[in-house]
Amino acid sequence: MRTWIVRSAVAAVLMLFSAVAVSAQATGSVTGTVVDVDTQQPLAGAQVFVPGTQFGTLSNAEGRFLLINVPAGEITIRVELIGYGSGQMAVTVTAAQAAVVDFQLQPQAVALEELVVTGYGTQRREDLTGAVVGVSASEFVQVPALDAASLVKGKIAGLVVNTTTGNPAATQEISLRGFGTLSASTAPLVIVDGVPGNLETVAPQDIESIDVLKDASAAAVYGSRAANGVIFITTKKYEGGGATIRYDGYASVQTLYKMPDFLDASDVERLAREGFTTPAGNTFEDLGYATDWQAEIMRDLPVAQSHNITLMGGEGGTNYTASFSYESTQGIFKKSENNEVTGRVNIGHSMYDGKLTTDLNLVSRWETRPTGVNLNYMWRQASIRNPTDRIYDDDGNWQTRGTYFYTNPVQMLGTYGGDYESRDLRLHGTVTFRPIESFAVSLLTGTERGQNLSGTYRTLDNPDVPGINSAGQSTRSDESKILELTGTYADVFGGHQITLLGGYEYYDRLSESFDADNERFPTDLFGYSRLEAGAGLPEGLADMGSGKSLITTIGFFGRLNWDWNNRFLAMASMRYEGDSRFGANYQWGVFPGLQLGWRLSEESFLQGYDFINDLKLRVGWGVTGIAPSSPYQSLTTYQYSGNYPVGGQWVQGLVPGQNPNPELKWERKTETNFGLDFSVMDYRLAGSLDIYRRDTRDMLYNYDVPVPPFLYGSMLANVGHMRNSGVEASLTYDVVRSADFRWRASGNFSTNNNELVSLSNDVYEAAECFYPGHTGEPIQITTHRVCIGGPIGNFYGFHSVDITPEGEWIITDSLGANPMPYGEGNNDDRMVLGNGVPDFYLAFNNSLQWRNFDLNVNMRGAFGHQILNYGRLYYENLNNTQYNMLNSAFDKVYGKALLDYPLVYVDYYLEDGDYWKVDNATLGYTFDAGSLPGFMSTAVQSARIYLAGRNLLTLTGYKGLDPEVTTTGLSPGQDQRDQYPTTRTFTVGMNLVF
Amino acid sequence: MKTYKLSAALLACGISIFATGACTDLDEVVYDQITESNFNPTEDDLGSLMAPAYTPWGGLFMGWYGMVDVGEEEPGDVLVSPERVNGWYDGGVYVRQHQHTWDNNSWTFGHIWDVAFSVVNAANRVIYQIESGVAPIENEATKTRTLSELRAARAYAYWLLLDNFRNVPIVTDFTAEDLPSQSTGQEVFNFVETELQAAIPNLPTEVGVAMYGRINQYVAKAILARLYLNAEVYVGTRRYNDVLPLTQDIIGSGKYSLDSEYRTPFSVAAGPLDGGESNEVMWAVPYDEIYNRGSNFHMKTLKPELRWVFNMNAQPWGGSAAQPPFIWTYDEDDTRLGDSWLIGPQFTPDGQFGYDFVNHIPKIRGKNEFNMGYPVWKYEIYEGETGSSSVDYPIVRYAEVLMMRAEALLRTGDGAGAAALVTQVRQRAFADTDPSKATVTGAELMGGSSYLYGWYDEDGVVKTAAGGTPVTNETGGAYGGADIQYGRFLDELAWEFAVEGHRRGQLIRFGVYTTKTWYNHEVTNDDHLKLYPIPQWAIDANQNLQQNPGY
Repeated sequence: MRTWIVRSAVAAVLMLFSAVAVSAQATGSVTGTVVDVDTQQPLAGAQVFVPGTQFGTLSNAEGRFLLINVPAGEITIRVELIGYGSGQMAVTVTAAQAAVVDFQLQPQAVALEELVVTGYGTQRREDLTGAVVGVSASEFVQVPALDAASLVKGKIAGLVVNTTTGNPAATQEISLRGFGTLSASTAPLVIVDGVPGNLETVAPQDIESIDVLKDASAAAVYGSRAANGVIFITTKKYEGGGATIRYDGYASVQTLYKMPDFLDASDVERLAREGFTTPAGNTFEDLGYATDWQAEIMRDLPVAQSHNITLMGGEGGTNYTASFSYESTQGIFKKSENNEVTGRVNIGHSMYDGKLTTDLNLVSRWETRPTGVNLNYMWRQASIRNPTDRIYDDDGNWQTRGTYFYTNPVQMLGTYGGDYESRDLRLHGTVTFRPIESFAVSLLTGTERGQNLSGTYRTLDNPDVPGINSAGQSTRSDESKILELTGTYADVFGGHQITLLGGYEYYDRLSESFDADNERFPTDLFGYSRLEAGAGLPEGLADMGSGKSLITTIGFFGRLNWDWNNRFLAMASMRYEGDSRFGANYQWGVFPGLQLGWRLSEESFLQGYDFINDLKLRVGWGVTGIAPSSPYQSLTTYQYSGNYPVGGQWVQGLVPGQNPNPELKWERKTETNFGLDFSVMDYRLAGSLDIYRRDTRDMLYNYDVPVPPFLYGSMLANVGHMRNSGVEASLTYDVVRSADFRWRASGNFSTNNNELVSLSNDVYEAAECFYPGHTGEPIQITTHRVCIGGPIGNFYGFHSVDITPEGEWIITDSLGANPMPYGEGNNDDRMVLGNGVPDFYLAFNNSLQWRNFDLNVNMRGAFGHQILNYGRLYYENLNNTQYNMLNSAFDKVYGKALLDYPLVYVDYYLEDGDYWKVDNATLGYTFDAGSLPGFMSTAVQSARIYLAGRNLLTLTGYKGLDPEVTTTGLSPGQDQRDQYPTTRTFTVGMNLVF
Repeated sequence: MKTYKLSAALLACGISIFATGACTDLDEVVYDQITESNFNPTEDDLGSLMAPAYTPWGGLFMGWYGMVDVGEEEPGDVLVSPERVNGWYDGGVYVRQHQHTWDNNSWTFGHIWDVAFSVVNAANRVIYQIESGVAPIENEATKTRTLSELRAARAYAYWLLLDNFRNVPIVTDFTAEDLPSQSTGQEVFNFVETELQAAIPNLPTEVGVAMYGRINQYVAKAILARLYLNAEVYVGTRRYNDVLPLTQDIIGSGKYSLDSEYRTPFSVAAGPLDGGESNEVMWAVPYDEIYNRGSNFHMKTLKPELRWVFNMNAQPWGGSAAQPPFIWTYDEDDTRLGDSWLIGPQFTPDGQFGYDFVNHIPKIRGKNEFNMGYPVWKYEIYEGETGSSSVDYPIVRYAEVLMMRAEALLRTGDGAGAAALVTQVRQRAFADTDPSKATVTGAELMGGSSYLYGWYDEDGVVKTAAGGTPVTNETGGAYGGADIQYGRFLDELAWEFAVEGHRRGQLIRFGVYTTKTWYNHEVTNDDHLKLYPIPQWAIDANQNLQQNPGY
């Protein structure tokens, strides 16, 4: 029955691939059970298959499996199940008979035989010699994912994933092993099914595993793009068994994680009535109405829904996987939402006994959302608007006020708008030819086309320029092509197992952009759909812009893996790579990687220690790079810029594009990593420890250079040296392993030390310190300082210690001595006030299973850092009663006096940012097969429902909305006032497999 | 099908890698810029090539951290950017400009350095391109005239550098790669002098639209006159006599005249592209909302609600205003007071938005209301004005030529000759009130200043210090203005050129800059402050540079 449904559903797909081979040789079947070696309980859902063939199935709830139509003869049956060591047995199949083989699997806290993607291939976890972490679908964070990074949030030591905003259109902030660059990209290289992509390329439900190459020895095979690590996303593919249809769906609601405590209408009314006068002599104005501005711009109950249908199966030499995902998420703010549709088809075919295989992939994705409203600025306006004001005046017009930077936020919502859409299409095909068992050559080609379209408008009654409407459109498109030719040779002789890889890769990306806008339209009705209708075009008030650029990356690479008797492991790799963005003198570079591993547990001297199941020491060294982000930096170019009247006509000036730097090259990261992996106590406790030091040299920085002789005052050059060193540890422990109840706890820890070692060489001399980060107006001062010899992230400003009876800050000099009124301080009195980068991160994840119930709780925290609380800095000040303020503005500063001072940046607003979050929790129930009613009892293979919560609880002393603020970049730790606040999400969902 | 073709092409490429090397080609393909290999300018491109020798000034004079306000006026006694209810402390940058306590890393003056040297570089580049034949000019006369204009443009940049930093590197060779070495003030002075002298004979004498926004012969002479007028400050040599023939040439040419309305040179319609109503503006930065954006000083001095009063399309930011004691110096019949400053009640017809501007700003620090201090009204504010103004900034105007000549006459003993010129300039200011008041005498010009120098206390009384004793005009020393030589002439300069970006130079020339207290600026008696420090980033980038003495 089930097979019939699936066949009908996929008929169309199959018709495209008519090469369905039907075998007519003599066959038999294989049956048996899979049980836990400790508890002797049956194990359901184990993959049972014949390696290298299409024969496979899953064990059922009783642990039983049945493979039919297996060719007669000697075959190998393999069993794999997450959380267990795999099993493998040889069996002889006789025609028209059932061979029986039973498996007893060993539970493992960390599955040593699981395959981990290492780039251009995979390795068994027990053979890994680099700092590589693989997380498979069963270990993913179970709550609805914002993107692929959410799935492994808190799961990988050293990989920091921060959700700093509640905007459903935003991406998360990712960093791996600290911050190692000043001006190049910090994004890790993301490889989706072997092809460069990004964290949003495929729907989270389609992801089978995420593997991360943390250290340079592992990533070196990706050369000039891999300095920030490499993240592999592997999508779900058919792996044997019958055809299935899987449905995953959920619905969720969001609430604001924490509401700031501003004065409400009754507070202002009271303050005005009582004639409250601030120390500076200001009073409060009661305008006579009551409006909860923050509520006005928010949805009462934003909902999200997601549906994913995945179809997979195979017959003969052909297999297919196809999926369709739809996700729609409303944000907590109105006009904030995100909708995504992703479709994916993967078809594989194997011919000539597996000698020739092909694999075709198609991924298509649309994302749409409203745009045009500056949501962050709207949040500010909703926060500071007088709660006794109203939205509309008596005539039904927007109620406006003349106050500086003071906009009716509901008017912003009502008069700004637009649509954003991104479209992405990836097509890839791989042909693999394996003439002999030990050698294969593979060719991958493909293309990806991505396009963003955006149209925005503002209507006549907009608050910024009332009476003038405007509209604009813009498009960005990227077209990339990839060609990859690889050869692999694997052989075993005399206890030596070697794998040799060689390859060539060509990648280019053509980027184009176009935008146009116009204003003064006769009507608001067109929106952005008829740009020529605006009178701004003939008046010269319309704008237009376009650009086009191409980058090319070419690499040759080779890698040798060697395994001697499972005791000594080694890997050596080399990539020779060039990038068109590099200067003519440095177009090609060499990126070597070297790893050694020693499995002590295989040595005789440890054989007596039975509690040690696995123990491995490893060391790695490698070099990776990162390219400058923009093209042309090495070339002498000219462009038109600025106008000047010549003979009564405006002509465009012709100016050099930039300071050309033909010496420009990649940032070079050298990293040494020592690691230890172990499994002990019957595989119950497993873990790993990594110690690393990574040095970024030839670091890109925009140096101040003299003009003349240089054309511009700054020049991108490779000079700096930054060092990150750290320790990462992770532990997994099977607390309970019984038939009815399983509890696995895992934790990880990471710490990183950052130092800017130098920023100068013979040619370029940079100042000892530079000052990134800025408060924005009206304070207009830098917030951070980075000095040679120091770390990134130091807050730098005035140290406040007290307040005068009149309400003026008392600050100290740079040594923390000599208290003085704020007005007497000068720039030299500033000091380092703290640091925005956490000293260490901790995560603690629990996975429990009791009978049909499963519970996952993930907790996570960051410690030892400070956060600049802009909410308090701007809104805890009585000096400007035109703007609404926090109730805490009425608290005495240092318990002594009310503040009577303009907004200034002092460390009174700098708070310890330590936090511990119950990041998410999921409670699921899996139905017993057959327990479902009616038709479902036979059609449904498995069914699970769950309840989940994200961002559930935060333990912190931080007074702002959420301590999970940005910790990357050159000015980390700023909790901006114009920040879409974070939310808490509750979800109910189900997974069904037919 | 397309995909297969692509695959086939790529496959072919893959196979041929090692044979041809075609697949290892990393040359950058440049689509949206001009590369050196296809850069072949002709005489038609001359305008585009020369434009960068002028365009950088747009960002400097009336832009953010502009030279006019922050660089030249705020260190003086006319304009101040006090803290406001909406901020304007900005880390103390305006307080430091006012009190002459700038640090070496400030963009307030560093902006002048950066822009002036970008002009130097652009001029050097185009001179090199023309002389080397990269940008060939067939016509010898055109070539000579163009090169002369570029040299004059470069000389003006060096005049600014001389005036603000004095000891700067002179670079004239675009192809030089070495880090430039520093020149003395005398060398820079000589360079500006000889370059202008060499350029002047070959510069066009056309005025109006043909040379609008560019340096013609008269503008070059005016700049040279400025150099001589300040020679005593720059290099310790009195060169006032050299001012006279240059200014006489300009006056005698009859090409320029004073506009009948004081505000005409600062109106949208002043320039020849916008109406050509001014015959007084000699050289201007031709700001334009569409073609040449960057003038936003009006945003810095107007206050937020004036947007509704003047029907602007942008909300001003609300900072700078007149220092109250300066306002006191105006004659009540001098219409330049109301032409330069926005005074009294300014409201929308319905009275809902606006301010009643008062001439009192309690102190530079603290929460000053928007109506405290008169905003600058000199530059036309027009309906629909955006954050970028179309009003041109006059770098040189004819009134300055007259006043330079007057000052040179005064300093060389011809008080009557000076008075006649000053009277000529004053006449339009009193034409509608009391024309007799326009006339001044040489003796008056030799007298002291009416500016009540001293600490402006929160109660609006000028004192020796905050909470000190009140001072009078005759107190002397750091207080009062009666003891300033040619102080009345200094006042005349302030009234005529308020907020035109000349005040710093005037105060230095009249010996006031370091010797008086004004508003919340205390007397420094420290001559090193007459120069700005060389920006620290310039020194970091070029170890050949020595910091100016005292910094």
